[in-house]
Amino acid sequence: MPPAVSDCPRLSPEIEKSAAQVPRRVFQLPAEGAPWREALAGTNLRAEPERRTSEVLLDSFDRRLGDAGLELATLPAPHGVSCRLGIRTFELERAPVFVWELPFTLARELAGILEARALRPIGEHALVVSSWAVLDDQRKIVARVEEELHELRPSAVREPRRIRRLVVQGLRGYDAELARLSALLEPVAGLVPAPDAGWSLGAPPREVGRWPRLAPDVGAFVALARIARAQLSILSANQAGLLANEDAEFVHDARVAMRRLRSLVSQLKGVLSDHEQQLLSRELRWLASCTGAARDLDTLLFELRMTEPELRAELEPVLLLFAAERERIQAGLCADFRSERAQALRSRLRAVFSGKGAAECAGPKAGMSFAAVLGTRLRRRWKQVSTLAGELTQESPAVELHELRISCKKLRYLLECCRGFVAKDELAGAVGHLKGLQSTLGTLQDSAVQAQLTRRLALELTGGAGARAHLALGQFLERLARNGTTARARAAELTAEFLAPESRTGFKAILRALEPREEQAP
Amino acid sequence: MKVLALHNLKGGVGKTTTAVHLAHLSARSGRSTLLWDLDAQGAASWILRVRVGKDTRPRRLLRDRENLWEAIRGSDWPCLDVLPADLSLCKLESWLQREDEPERAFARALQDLGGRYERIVLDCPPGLSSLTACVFKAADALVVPTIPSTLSLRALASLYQHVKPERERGLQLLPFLSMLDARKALHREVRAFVREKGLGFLGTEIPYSAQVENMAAQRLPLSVSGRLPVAGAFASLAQEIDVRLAAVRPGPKLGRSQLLEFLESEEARASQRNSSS
Repeated sequence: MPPAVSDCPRLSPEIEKSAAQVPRRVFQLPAEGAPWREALAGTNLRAEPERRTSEVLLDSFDRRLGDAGLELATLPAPHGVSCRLGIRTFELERAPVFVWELPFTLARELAGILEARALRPIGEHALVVSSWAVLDDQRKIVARVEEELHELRPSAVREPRRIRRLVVQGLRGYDAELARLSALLEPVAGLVPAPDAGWSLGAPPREVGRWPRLAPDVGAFVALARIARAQLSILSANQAGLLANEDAEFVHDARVAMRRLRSLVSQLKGVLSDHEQQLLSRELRWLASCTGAARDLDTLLFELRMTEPELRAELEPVLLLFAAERERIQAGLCADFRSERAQALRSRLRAVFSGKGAAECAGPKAGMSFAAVLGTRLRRRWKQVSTLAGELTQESPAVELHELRISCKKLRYLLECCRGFVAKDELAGAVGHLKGLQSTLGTLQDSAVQAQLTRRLALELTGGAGARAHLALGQFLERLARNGTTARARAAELTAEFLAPESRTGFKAILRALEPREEQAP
Repeated sequence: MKVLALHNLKGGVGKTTTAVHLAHLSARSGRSTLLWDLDAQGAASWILRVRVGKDTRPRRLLRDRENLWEAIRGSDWPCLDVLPADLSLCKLESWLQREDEPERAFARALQDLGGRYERIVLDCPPGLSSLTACVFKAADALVVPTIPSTLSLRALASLYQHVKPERERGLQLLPFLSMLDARKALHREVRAFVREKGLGFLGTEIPYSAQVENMAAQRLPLSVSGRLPVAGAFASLAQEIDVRLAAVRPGPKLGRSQLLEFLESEEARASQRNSSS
């Protein structure tokens, strides 16, 4: 990990918003410039040194920071790189690649957005600012007038996009001065008021695996095939990253796509022929299971890397050992994904869902309405989850909680298929609720699996690792146990919410929306 | 949000200078920072060229959130705002004396500001008052510039005792040697004593410098250019305070009894010097 040269302050969203609220006016400048200085002839202006920056913008390949409205940029500094996230700046020894390489406070803040996704340069942003301070009678700065020349160059694009702007930057408490300057500048020929928007480096990469738009009367086989094709495109988009072990999210996303596909194939009985359904379920289960060990270790490594700096420094020998184990697992994972069996599965999936093999693979319910098939299956799954949730107590063994989690996951995948059939808000409420419960149960399960894995791998930790590493490991295990206890308590609350009458009413509304509509009288 | 208060029972020890520099350095590191000038002299506001707004009434600051926001002014530097003061601040003191729960009102105001600022630096007046009592209750750390002199050390020992209840609640007391003049024997002796014993003093020492006095005339923090050695000392002080604020475990205690012993021995040495001369 490149150690942070300086810490990065943690800013609440309110602070970020407030900083952005410092008033300013933006004008677009034509390439030949505009005579704005004449308009400010009676104003006390003091030229400030010209500023030039050339930042490299970083984001994950799927633009997670950009989607969250964040901009992370780096530029060379005497002792490494100077980083900027919005208005915050900090220094690192080298450009960060993963969230845990950022200063701890910031890493915690961004962990939910970036997870284990790798950061990569997505373009350059060069800026030249000529600035003038507007002074009052005390020679206090009350505003700034800045001429900006931006050059935006997305990666792999030669010609930069050039933008010239004139910005009147106000100061808190000096609003009248900003209004006066704006009034003087507005009539200047060539100056066009412009929105104060952020920078976009062009269109984000094509969204892979977008959920298909399904018509209300779509047939079950056609709907399943379209959903399956979307999942296959996710699997295919993540395969190169998974094989290169670029980051842990490639394994995760590929795994989720496989799980969703298998869950739907096996839950929507009768849409595929029995033979096809059993074959695909079995083979998808096998391929997904090949990623299990890697995913478990990735989750554990993420937890270890996200511990506070003092503990993490002591856990360094443990991290090295576990990272080496992850490398070893990677070799097996690549072999499985490149195997003939995996290739045969991918070919089979393409054949079944691309439309060519539809006639042979179709089951008895293939021609039925997708909504009807979905509704029947949803009702049964809902009952199962309700029964399992109702039987839970504070003393329920882990295996029962795990069973509930799996059922919740299956129910969620079915609910996701209701997009287009059910009102957005109703569906979002039910899915969100279920996701919360499932995620809490996941934390509970993860903490148990991680503790088990840690204990197993720690046996290989040699004496050379030092007593501190062993003590730190003990501390980490205690933390996992605490996480598990907290998650269990939270799971009880969420289960009660799931079983509440309001939740049942919401679910019934979803089922009603899936029922066939009566023909309207002419 | 962390609240740093610059305080000393004595005046003229470098509170305002330090407050201005700590605020400027905090803002320069990208933190959204507010310097709240709580001294009716308004020296920090003067240095940062910020004047109190015409419609801002100090006594309303703690009662009316809007009034509090409206009183804040941007400084010449990004991320640094100032809540300025002038002589009218005296009315705040009398309002606090009449208020039933002044400490709660002050803490609430800071809490409101905490939604907008990552770091708040309070430049306090010397001595003890209703206002300083509120500060002691609400601050995370009390930064105490201490001149290496007998009176300053005595004042520090008294302050340490005075804020015992607040220390127990978690208030950190962070004294450091200020205006250190190595040409003076007493300054050297105090420095050697502090260095040897630690006593909870911050390791950074701010040397006496004419440049610091010049700063008030130029109305420009030395950290703006950062070329002078004293500017480097302020930067290292800011870093050290950040480390202490972020530390999980509390820092070393002051060692008040050792400090008092040292003062007694100094007194004895001084009288010995007098009798021999």
